[in-house]
Amino acid sequence: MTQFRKRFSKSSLQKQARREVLLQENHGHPSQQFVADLNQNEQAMKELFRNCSDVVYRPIQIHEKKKALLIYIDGIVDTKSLEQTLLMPLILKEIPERSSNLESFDKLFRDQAIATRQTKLASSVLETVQDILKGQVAIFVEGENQALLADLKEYEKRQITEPAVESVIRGPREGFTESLQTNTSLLRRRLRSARLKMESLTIGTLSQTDVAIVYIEGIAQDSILEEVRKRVGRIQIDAVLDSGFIEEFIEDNPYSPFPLVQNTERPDVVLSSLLEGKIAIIVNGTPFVLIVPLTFWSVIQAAEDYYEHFIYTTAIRWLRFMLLGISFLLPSLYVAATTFHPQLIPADFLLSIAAAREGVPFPAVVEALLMEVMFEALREAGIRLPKPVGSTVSMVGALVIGESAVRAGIVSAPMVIVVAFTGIASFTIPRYNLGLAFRILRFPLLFLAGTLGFYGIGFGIIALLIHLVNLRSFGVPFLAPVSPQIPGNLKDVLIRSPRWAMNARPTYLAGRDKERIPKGQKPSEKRGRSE
Amino acid sequence: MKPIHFRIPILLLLLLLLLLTTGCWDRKELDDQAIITAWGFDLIEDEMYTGTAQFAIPSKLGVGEGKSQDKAFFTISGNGKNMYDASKNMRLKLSRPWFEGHSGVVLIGERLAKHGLANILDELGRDPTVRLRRDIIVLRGGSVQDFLELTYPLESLSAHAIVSMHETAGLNANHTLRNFYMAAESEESSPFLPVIEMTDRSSEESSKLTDPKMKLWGFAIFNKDSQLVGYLPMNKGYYQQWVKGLLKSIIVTVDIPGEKGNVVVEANHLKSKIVASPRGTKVHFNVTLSGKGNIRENNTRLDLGVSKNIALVQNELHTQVGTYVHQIIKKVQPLGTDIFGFGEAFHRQHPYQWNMLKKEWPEKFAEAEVSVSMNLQIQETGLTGAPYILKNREIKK
Repeated sequence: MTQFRKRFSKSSLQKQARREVLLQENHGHPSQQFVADLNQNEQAMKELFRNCSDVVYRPIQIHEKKKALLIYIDGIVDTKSLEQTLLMPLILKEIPERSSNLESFDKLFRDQAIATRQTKLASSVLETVQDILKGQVAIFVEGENQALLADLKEYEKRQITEPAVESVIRGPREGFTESLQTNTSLLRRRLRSARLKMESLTIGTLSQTDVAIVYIEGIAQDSILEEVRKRVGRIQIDAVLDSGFIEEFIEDNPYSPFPLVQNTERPDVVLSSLLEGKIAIIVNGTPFVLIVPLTFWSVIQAAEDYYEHFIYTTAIRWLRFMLLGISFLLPSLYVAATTFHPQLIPADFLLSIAAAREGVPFPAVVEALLMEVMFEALREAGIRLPKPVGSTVSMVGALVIGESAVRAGIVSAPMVIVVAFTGIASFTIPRYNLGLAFRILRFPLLFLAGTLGFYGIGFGIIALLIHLVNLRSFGVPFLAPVSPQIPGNLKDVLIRSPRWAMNARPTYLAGRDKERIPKGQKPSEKRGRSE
Repeated sequence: MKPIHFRIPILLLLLLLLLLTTGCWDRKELDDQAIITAWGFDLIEDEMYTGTAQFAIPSKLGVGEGKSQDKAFFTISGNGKNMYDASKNMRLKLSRPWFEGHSGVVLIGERLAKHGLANILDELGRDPTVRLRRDIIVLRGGSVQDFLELTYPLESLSAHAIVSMHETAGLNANHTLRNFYMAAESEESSPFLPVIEMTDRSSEESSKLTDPKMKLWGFAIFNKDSQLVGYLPMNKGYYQQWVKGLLKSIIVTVDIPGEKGNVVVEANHLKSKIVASPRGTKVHFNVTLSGKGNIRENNTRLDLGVSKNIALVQNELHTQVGTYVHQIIKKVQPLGTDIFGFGEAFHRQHPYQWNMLKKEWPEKFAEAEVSVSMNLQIQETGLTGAPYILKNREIKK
């Protein structure tokens, strides 16, 4: 074993070394510097960017004698401001003749021309290349061994639209986009406080994806924050295409079917989580923002809960909780009750089930599995297929399952009702990824119910509970605040307290700043009069 | 904690053990079982039992369009030296194993009831699939098999009709196997069971009528050996149930002396209180029946809007019902079967004397002195006071 480990670690070291070599081949050696010769610098850059047709080399003449070269990547640079703020001053001799070295350009740009944009001087090839790739314009001047980098980043962005996944009837309709800057601005606009921190880092050797860890200072717990920084910081990956890539690296228990990281497209959800002491991770290139830690009870909390009246919301939460149970248990309960414990079913009901089952060739558990698979297939087809075809599929599927299968005697009508109701119930779970976990676990439970009856279901539920109480999300127990029970934190679990009663932040999440809303704000006639 | 790739095989192994070591594998599909809805037992000759079971035919039970006009059940009978032998012979005619968890009623033929229920009680009590909440009913006259073949217009399974007829009749539907066992085992009381009969209308003409051919008849009284010793027809049975404290409502017809007609009172909130007092070697019981009454029908000339007349009706009701109940009790006493709950009352009120008495309780019950007092308040007279059609001068104020 130890020998194996040694070999394993050795090979991983080799891999690490090879990765570094690859990086150098692409971006130049870290210690490579520019020289004072424009041609040589141009050659060096052209060598690095060979076969990159989107790189633009734009030679210009300053004061008709000094040669200069602009390098940028087409499409990620704002060409309008490039024209106005860089090319015009340089070409049209607006610069005094004596100050034609890069330092003075730098100063000039910074002071006058492009005051809102960042500029800097760089002499490292690697740094310059990386900045060009991020949308900066590099200016090389004859006789200078540095490059002036001007940040003119600007690329096509999607409009801010309503999120497709977590839709609400009442509440903000803005959703995140693929651009990190847009996303951070959506947060900052809603929380104008210097305590809203956004620590940025870059992940991905090739993709160089910007990632921001967002939290509110004082509200987020330092230990959790430190853990997030540590876990995100140690990720080594070639490219990050979605926040899901990050999620899989930072989960506490990678084998659990339950997600331990929440994702959302809604800025209001992120902010309400931040205000509870959670931490968000925004990844450039995806509208899905990660929120950690995730606790189980958010499975029944929807964004809208906090905008609608609390009595209605509480009732809806109970409904969701019941439907969660149904989506997980109903097919199993039906199979177990009809094949193992028919005594439990009221006589008339049993007889009508028996009447429906008469002539069905399969055992109930096979029937249930058949229908569940068919339902899942429909669901999957609905997502995968192009939208115009999708509706046809669901219509044909509904016909096949609902009508023909029953009439042909392959499945019984009660089973269709059970499976359909289960499917509908599973759609009511606000957290899609937590719903997926229950969707998957339904099948082993169905198997247990079909082989052992209620005994099997009991066994399955106990195993599930043991698993759930063992789960941690960034050190926070998954079932908190119910198990372990943390007194005073149950105001937002099975009931949603009115806003004026939610005085404290969750104590298992929040750091120093525990108070949320000062007490004594319950509206009443008396209170209005005394003031 | 071990790494997860070690835990998974262990978990699977545990699961396998769980599957293999749990003993009986009782998975049975609904469509592989014959669902029994009712049982019937009788004695055809000495030491020869007959058993009949009513089975539901699920395919004929379909709802809506699929509902068929045919009978939704069939019966199977078998004979044998004992219950189980009979049922074993029944199984020879069956294509599926039976399931009796939902059989709601056990019918006992008259002959078997007179012979004694000891055997059948033993068999039913031993079988783990038999529910103790099952109703047990005595069939008066006719054969059990014929009765189970009867159809009932409202219910596709006549067994369901048998079970729910009691409830509808205002009787407490609690005539379950469990209660019978309890009464049979207790020292204080004797068991009694409801009796149902098949109305005999075999003539051509009446067979066209849709009038159901089953009817509640009354109660059967059993002795301590679970043998049928006497009957109480329904009109008497209601009062027995009232004394026992099981009745919900009763309709009483009161004859008014000096008047031609009678007054009908529906009494609700019925209560019964039994006070036991030992007097020498004998025991005295005072039964107080109370309740609240509404006038339902007035066939006299009395104006019931006048409280004097109400008092008159109430007094007559007290005397008449009191005497009637006393007669019923007197009639049952010689049987030595305490079906009124006297023994229980005595046991509760005089626990020490009970110990001396309990061995000879049937005899003591037979010779006990009983007095009945009534306290029934007439509270409502309906919407009219005086009889509807009579002219003013004819009304007795």
